[in-house]
Amino acid sequence: MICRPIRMACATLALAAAVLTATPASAQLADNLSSYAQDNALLYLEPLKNAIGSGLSDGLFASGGVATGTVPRVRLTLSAMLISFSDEDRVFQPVAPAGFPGDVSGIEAPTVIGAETGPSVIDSGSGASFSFPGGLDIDRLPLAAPQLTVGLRGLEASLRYFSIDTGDDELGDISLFGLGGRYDISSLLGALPVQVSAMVYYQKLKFGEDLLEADAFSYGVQVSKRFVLVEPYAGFGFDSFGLDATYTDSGGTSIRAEYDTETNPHLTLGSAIHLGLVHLNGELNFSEQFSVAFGLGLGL
Amino acid sequence: MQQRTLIILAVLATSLLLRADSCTLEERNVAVVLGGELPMQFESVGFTQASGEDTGSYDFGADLLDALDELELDGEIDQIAISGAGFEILRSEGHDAARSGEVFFSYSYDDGAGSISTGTEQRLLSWSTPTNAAGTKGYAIASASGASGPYVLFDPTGLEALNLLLARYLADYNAGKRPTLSVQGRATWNSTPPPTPEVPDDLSWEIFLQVQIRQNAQVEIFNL
Repeated sequence: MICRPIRMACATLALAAAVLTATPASAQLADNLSSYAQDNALLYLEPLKNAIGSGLSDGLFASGGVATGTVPRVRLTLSAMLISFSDEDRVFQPVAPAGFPGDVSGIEAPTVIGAETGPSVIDSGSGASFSFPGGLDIDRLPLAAPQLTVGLRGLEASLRYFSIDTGDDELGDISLFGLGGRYDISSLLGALPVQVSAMVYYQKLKFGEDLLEADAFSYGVQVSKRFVLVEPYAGFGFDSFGLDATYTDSGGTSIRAEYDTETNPHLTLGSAIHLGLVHLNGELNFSEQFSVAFGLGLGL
Repeated sequence: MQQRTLIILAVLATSLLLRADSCTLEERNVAVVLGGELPMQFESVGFTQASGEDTGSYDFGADLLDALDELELDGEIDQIAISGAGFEILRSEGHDAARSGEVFFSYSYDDGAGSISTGTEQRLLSWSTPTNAAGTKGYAIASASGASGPYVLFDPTGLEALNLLLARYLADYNAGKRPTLSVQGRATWNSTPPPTPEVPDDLSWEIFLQVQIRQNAQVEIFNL
């Protein structure tokens, strides 16, 4: 019995592909995970987990201001995020695979974003060999999300949503749902030369029925100063991110692998340009992974 | 002037965002490794002796073919090899004892073009477990010296023979044939303490051979 592979790693790339309208690496690449038990599978995928966790919290805002008038301010924004990987993300120290009698201590295996070819280890006593799968050899991961924002009277609600049918029976749908809000706290702080707001935001990213579920909760404060058309902004907050993966290992056993929820500080520095109904923004994000984000918004 | 500059910048930024001009697709030759298991099940039911054996026939070829047919990426499959092994007590309702024994295999191979060959029996591995309670599971280890827990120990000669057989299977598969591979397994064991007519053996168990199929697959990825 040789089991059907899981399709986790490339599902993430498919998410990026869906936005940037290009072909992703084949979902079959995730065959690699079938060689790994839970411990090594988690290590293999960890850079993607960190990247998704950091990227989802990017582009949530492009200003410290919230509409305070009685006329609703509605804006539709497409945010694109690009998360960078470091050299350390490219390899991991594998746990000895159960069943392989050889010694893998000192071995560095590629992660899902690492080198295309992994090492093979041969047990000198028995002749059994274990091949570590390769990675996709990528330096950055793109993500994107459409976002609808409605604000009035110092309150702002924001919705992120998309659902994509990948056309792959095993991969199923990819969906993102996010809901958050911001509150204008400038008025509470007296006369300030800048606009200040506080934000909470929850997001759920799903691949397939049970394949991969990621939950991200972000909270923090933002500040900005408007100069006619240009509005520099900054934000500081925390991202709390958890991820569960359910897959079938080489023995046919369904495994639910759960990363511990991590909370990381997140600093954003950016600037927006307002051209009537068109709003552009770019930002740098310093969190678990460094990333950049760009946004194109239409609306008030 | 300031507004004009900003508009130009905005148009450029929008162009980058929408067209992603710097986004290119690059080809990668990724080492894909598909893992799986080739199981060999045995049982002892109503047995009352200290030593025993059981035999079975296993269609390794069908299992391998199912896996190979699933690999849909372009690129030649360059290796099928045994990476490890283990055993598991699947069911036990009778006598409980420490067990140790050996597993042998022989084979019948059809290359898919009418050439049939058979292999004489060879010892593949030895195994040992302190109990045959259901769910007991052990894996291959490098040496039995000092080992007390459940384990499997490969016989390197038998494993080499099996890997050569798998390599032959792959060569015929890559040549466009549809080879078949049937393996006959024989397990022997000793029980301590032995079963009795009052409490006979009633258990089933399996040896699972862990196999890896390695392919250099060509995939396209983003390079931003």
